[in-house]
Amino acid sequence: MQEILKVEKLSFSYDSDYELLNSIDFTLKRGEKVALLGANGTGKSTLMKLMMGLLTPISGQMYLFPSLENENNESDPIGLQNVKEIRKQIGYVFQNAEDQLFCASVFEDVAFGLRNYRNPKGDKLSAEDIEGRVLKALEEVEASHLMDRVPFKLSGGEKRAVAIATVLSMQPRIILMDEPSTALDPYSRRNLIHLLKKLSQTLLITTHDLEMTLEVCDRVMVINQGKIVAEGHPVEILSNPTILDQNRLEMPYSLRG
Amino acid sequence: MSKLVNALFNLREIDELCMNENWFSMQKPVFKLLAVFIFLIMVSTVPKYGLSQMLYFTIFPIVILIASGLPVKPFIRKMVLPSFLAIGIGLINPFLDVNQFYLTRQIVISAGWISFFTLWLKSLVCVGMTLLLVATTEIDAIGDGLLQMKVPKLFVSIFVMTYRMIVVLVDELERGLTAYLLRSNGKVALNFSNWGSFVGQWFIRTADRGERLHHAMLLRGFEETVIHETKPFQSMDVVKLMVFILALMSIRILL
Repeated sequence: MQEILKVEKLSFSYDSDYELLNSIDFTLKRGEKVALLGANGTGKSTLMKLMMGLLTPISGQMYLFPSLENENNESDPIGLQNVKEIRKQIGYVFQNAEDQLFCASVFEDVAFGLRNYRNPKGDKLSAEDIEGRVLKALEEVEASHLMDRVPFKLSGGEKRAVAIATVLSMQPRIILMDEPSTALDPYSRRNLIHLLKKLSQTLLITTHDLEMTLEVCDRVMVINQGKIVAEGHPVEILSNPTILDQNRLEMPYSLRG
Repeated sequence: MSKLVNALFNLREIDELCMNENWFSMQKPVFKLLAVFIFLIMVSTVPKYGLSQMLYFTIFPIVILIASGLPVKPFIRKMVLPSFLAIGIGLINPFLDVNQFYLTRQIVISAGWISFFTLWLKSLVCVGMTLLLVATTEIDAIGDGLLQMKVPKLFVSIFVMTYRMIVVLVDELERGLTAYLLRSNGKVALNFSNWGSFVGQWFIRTADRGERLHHAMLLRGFEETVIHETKPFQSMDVVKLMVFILALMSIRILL
């Protein structure tokens, strides 16, 4: 598999005394589903915010490699300086779905990004295109029936589905998800797992849901003390007692003998 | 307390009303903005003893409300506070304005009462009409209407973002109050000694959540103005607006 994204020596600190992320290096491959695991406060969400250009790193760089069928035939990778392009090609699902929904209706919320969208020639999407993409995104998350509902009145699972649809409608190449299964009931969680398995985009998921990690992800990275301390196949990492102990993780039930 | 806050300031309820399709909501935002703006100017220029004119002006929001089929209760709830404010401001009129006003040859009342009721109706009608505008037009559509009226982008952006911030502010107030009252051993209001820390926390939480929402907007391409394109103002809308202005003018000048 070809590389789609490379993070190189990325460091970040909220205050000068302590470097939360210390020279992080990793790569993502096209179509890969990767889980980023680690205890609370280890900088998983911060790393995602850095990757989206919501925070500025102290040092380091991120490279987003162009797609194979690049419209502009550009071959140079996109760096963190080009925040606009990064945000067009990488979608971010927030930890709290409520923070992602702010319009009067589900349709408007999913259409919000599309209305701001410009193709490389600077043209806007037509109303028909916007509607088509909204419907497709809502269908993908099985939330078409919610289209005319008011977002703040939806259930937690529905809000999560709509939040994912707001990102899918933008047709990103990579999706970052911050604890997507948090506060979901078993049925909604199961739907989420089906959806994540089905998605063709490259996924980077921060989560504490280790069973979901086993089901969905091809690779796991463990973050601790500002560095990626372990990396490998989910079964290999999540059955290693030393790694689990050192990183406040627990062996999933399905791996216990 | 939390229920009161909800009844008075729940802007989500107004947002929800925007989802209803009715003849007034289907009018173009520019038409509605201009119509409401002109209406407010007409009403605010009614003289202080123009109670009869005000009675005619009162018909407009009532007719629009009924014809739109919008629920009446949310409007009444949201008009309670402005109504009391207007009463508070106008109540001294009957005592200060001691001119006599002849209702008939036999019935004489203090002109202060007439000016009081005129002021009260003015405020209710103005608030009612504004509520009708926002209950039938999404905030982004209002923003687009303002842009079509050549209002500077920066102003429109500030207006739309301020509205969103107020929604978050009210949300956080309600959450904070609920959390406080659940642990306040049966009290129904905030203890005076807790006001400082409560308000501080309220603003911090609001700023925090506001920032997250702003991030969500930025990540989906938001730059300076919310784009919600509505149909442009056309000649038919000009005709409708003229008819509306004519009706207002005839009340204002002829009656």
